[in-house]
Amino acid sequence: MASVNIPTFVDGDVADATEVSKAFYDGATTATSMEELNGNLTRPNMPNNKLVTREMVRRRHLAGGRGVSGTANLDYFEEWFDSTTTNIELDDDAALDNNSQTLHLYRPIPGGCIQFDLGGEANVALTWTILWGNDSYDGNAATFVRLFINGLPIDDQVRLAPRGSTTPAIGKQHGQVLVPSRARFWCGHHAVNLSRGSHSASLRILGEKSSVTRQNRVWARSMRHFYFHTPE
Amino acid sequence: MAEVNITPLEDGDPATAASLNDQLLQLNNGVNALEDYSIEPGALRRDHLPAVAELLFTSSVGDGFTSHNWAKEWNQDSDGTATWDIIADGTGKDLSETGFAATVLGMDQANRFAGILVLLNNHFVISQAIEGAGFDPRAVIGIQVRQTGDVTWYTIQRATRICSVRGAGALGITGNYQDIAQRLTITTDDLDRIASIKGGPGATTSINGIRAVVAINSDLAFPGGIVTLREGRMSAFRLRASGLPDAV
Repeated sequence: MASVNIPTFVDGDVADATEVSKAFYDGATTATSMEELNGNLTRPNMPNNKLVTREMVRRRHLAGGRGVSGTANLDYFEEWFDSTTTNIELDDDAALDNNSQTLHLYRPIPGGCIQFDLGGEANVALTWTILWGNDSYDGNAATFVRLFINGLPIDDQVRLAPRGSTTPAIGKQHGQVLVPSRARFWCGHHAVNLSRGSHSASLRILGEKSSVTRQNRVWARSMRHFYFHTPE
Repeated sequence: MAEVNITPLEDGDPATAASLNDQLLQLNNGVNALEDYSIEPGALRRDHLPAVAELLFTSSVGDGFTSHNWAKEWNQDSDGTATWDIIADGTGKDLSETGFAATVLGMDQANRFAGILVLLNNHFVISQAIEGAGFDPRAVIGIQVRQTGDVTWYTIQRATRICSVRGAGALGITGNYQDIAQRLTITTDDLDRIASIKGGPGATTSINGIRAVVAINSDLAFPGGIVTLREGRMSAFRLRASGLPDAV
């Protein structure tokens, strides 16, 4: 992609056939030959006072985006988070971030997961909102939500909802109610450069397998992505 | 493409350098003078054009606090004034970025940066000590910019948001959760407003600093409210407008 620049001839000079040929066709990527006419005419071939307008650009080739969401309540019970090893203390920072034993226990949240294709390398921004909580009355109990991209956990993009109740229900070991007012909001974003191809981003939930946390609930959630292509 | 008019060479006429150059320059100049109507709608693909946006930075605070810990507390001002504090987690990390290349905004500028898209998320809990006392600790969240060559930070007025408590709880532990999501594009209009501030920097379009701030409003009748940060995250993209530069 360049301005076409054919060298001028000078009276008396011997015309070099190779140079003349290159003026009309040169396959080099930095060439300024008439080969540019083969589909490579673009901004450099426009006068300086002309602008590239929206109509000239093929749809979704520079930027695009899409979103998903859900509002139906989703309940996740303790059995879903069973571990083949031992119960995991989820309120341990180091264990949560680094203990691979917990990562496979995260469950994707419908309405908080998105798949998208990129026609080329792009800067991608993910934005999401989610509200979740649990019925625990134990002060150390928690329910975690973490961002995964292409199935891999993202460092630092993990948040917890603390206990949702203060006292056990009568005759029960777990808490009394699941109410949004004691749940956790998370409005988040993540910026990442991704290569050409198919990708996924998902919010996933991890509850504690515990006698005091029987139920975890996700209320409204959404996940959006938008991208800006970068030259490859 | 501009009109290309080539005069045919006649048999028997001598072909001089000048006559050849005239012909070729017609072609040369025509190809390099594409008109709007020469470009079919949708003809330009990602392969033809430079990036329309680039990520300037991502910064975060408090995101290591995955447990019940909280990052930082701001006490309510007791003297009736509220000042901006940079959003920080108390461990040396904050939401203030000055390391990126100065970005000159404006369609009349060489790079034609139309704006800077800022994504900002903060999670706070606002607590009051006395249930039902009626006082109202509030947090005002804002985005500020610093212009090149200036040491003063200026607040983007339309980016401020006010959060107030609507319930009581233990300070810094329970109360009213506030999750603030800001999406805005800083444009030359914002800079014009800043330039017009009395004592402001004057007309300039270059930005080399962006930060997120919080101000805790006072309530002299009932002091003691606390705003506690759990985490925050800020990212910025600079966006090119339709007139793309020749080189990136």
